[in-house]
Amino acid sequence: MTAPTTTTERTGYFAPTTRRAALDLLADGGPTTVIGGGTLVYPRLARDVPTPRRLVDLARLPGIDRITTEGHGVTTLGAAVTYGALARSPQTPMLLRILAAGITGGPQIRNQGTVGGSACYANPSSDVPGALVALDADLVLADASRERRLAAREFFRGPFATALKKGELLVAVEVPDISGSWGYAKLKHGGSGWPVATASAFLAHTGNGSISAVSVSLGAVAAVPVTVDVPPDLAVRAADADPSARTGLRDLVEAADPDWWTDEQADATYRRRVAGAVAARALSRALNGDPA
Amino acid sequence: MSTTTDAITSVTTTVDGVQLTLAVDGGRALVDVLRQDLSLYSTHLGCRNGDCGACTVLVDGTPLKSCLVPVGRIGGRVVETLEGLEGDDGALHPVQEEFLDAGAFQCGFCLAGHVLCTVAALRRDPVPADLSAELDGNLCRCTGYQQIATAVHAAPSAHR
Repeated sequence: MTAPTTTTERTGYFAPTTRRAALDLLADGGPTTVIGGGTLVYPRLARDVPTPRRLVDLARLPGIDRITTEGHGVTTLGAAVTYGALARSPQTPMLLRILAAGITGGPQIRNQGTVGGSACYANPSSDVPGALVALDADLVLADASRERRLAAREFFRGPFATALKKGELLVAVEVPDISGSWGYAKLKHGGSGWPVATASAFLAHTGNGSISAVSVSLGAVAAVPVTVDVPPDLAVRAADADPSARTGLRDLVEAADPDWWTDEQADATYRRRVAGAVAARALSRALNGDPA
Repeated sequence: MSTTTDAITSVTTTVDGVQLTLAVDGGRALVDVLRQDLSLYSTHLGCRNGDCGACTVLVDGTPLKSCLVPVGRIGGRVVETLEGLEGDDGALHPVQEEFLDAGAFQCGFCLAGHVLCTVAALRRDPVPADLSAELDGNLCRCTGYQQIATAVHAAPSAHR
């Protein structure tokens, strides 16, 4: 496993203990691989996928693995909060708790893989981007001179591409506390496979309990997550398996016409065709109050 | 440009009860250091992709796949491999005894993951409701899951 090393490329494993030190390491703009959990980086290193061999591990940064509730309607997830921590913490927003418990690879992966690492890797087939868009989360990005917040729908730019700039680090994810009902559904073809489609359904209620707005954010089906607003009456009928409403929902999803994703799990046509069905499952779970 | 952080080239850790200071590149995968530097071969190397679980070890009691763990991350932490479960007198761990009784070894390649995940789960909760979710990160190529399930489900009583 020898890496091509030029005179300008630095190598080595760094585990800074302050954000300042981490950002100093990134500040020269040299090729660097940032490690959140490591579950995505190490397979790349093992396969000689071109990956910078200067490794900056965030594991020792203070607070990077914390889940905090600030008391004004925002839950802050440190970038290196693991799926296991998300699944166990009562502070975790419910949608993310469901998502975390359903990550494949066993407790070993759930105890190591991180929400921030998955966001930065931006694999279209991952659970995380779609859920962060559904939650209207903000990503907190820091460089040596400032910190900025970017909405998840702005952060994901394409397959394996984000708005993260050179020298910038994702330090946290902020999830607003939105009151409503959630449902999550995922289609995958193997127990240990990546998702083919995910759907996060959200229902907003009026004061008298009727449904005022419905949206479904679809992940894993397109280059970036896609959110579809669904008329409440259509959502209710589709969740009840009314065939014409199912067709209507599918048409609505297909009409969003994103850049449908193809990978070894499924091609774009397949994903386009199943997205509506997975959306209907998520809606049904949200409506039945049985989110997972 | 100078930084306040140097690359990690030395790691002091505890492996199977022995405190060690290793002169290693902190970016090497833990599995490689265990096998190549410490000759601990019960930690198997399968997929290097985080799928198979054959390289599972416990770090501070938590099961992790050591092909994915930078050795630099285990400084100051306690690593347990399958070898470390053996008693001072060479006796097998009770969970290993259950695997033996159930004929759950087969080729033995996936053993580290199945046994260590079971041990970790039972330490946390000696009377677990369901152990299967604790084991879904381990693939048995012999497809001997029935015998493994038998051993795992017998393990809670043996562990006490």
